Amino acid sequence: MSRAPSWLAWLPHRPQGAHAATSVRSLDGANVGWLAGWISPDRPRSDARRIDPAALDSDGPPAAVSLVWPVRSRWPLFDDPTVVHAIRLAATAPHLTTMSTFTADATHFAGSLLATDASLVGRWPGWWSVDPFARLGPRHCLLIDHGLLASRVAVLGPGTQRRAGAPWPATW
Amino acid sequence: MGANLVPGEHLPDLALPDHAGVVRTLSEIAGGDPLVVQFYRGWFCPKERAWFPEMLALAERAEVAYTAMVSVSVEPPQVQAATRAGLGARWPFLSDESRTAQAELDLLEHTDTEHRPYVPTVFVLHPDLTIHSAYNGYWFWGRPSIADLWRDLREISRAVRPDWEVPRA
Repeated sequence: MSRAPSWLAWLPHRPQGAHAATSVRSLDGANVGWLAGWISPDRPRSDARRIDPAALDSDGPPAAVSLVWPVRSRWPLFDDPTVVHAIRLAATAPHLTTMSTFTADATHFAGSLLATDASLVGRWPGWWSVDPFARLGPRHCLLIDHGLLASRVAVLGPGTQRRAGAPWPATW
Repeated sequence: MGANLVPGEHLPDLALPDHAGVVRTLSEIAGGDPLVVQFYRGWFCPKERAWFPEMLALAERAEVAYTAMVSVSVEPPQVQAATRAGLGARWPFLSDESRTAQAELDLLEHTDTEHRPYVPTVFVLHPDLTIHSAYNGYWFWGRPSIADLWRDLREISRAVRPDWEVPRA
């Protein structure tokens, strides 16, 4: 199950050399930049955060994305009880198409991404409230185009224990 | 139970829809870790309802111990999703509604002609799905206690974790 490390960055412009990238809109339709992913043993940019490789798919469909993207000075420890509790809740969150936490070192929670079918949130705006990570940092409700995220969520339970340095739920 | 479902043999890498309808394989769920596979009759059975707390207790340990779990029955995914939510379970459930895996494994409980459920059976597997131990739970006391599972998972982890003995600087 081992895969090369993968990375995500939120940028104002489409970057060169990304494995996958897509434009990002807020719920009111405003363009709020690009999300881009890389598959690389090394961090491609200083602001990139490590993501579960299973969450990326350059052929993936449009999606609604709940993105928790805290600034570095506000990253809690991954073993903080608030993070552990949020991970346990995520294992029972409904209608996920993709999910990953982010890391940038071996010990800190650097944010999270939950995604669902873009058409779902129009019919059920309450989906935005299922994100258990939203209390851990600034949360952004976003709509993305195709070409970045997988449409098949990885197995989430019961292994909430994270491999050092890897984002949950990624295996080695 | 199939004659080849004994310690040292491999459990087939079943591919079945999970409680959300997403097809998963056992090897995907294991994800390179030891795996506890529970075949259960269904929520209708009082013995299952009496034993699920053992699985819940195990899950509390498993999710900090690099160990995966899965429950399998012939119930449809919607029923499993309700069972899982009602239990507060965080591990995946697999639906063998078509009973193909039940036939492949020869785990049909012939004495219950109403539900035709799985024979309650628990396998503790190595990451490559090699069977370490198998528990026949047709009679309730045949099921593993959490102490049984703890012992099995310790033995597997000792065998598969190269750093089981604490690395020296």
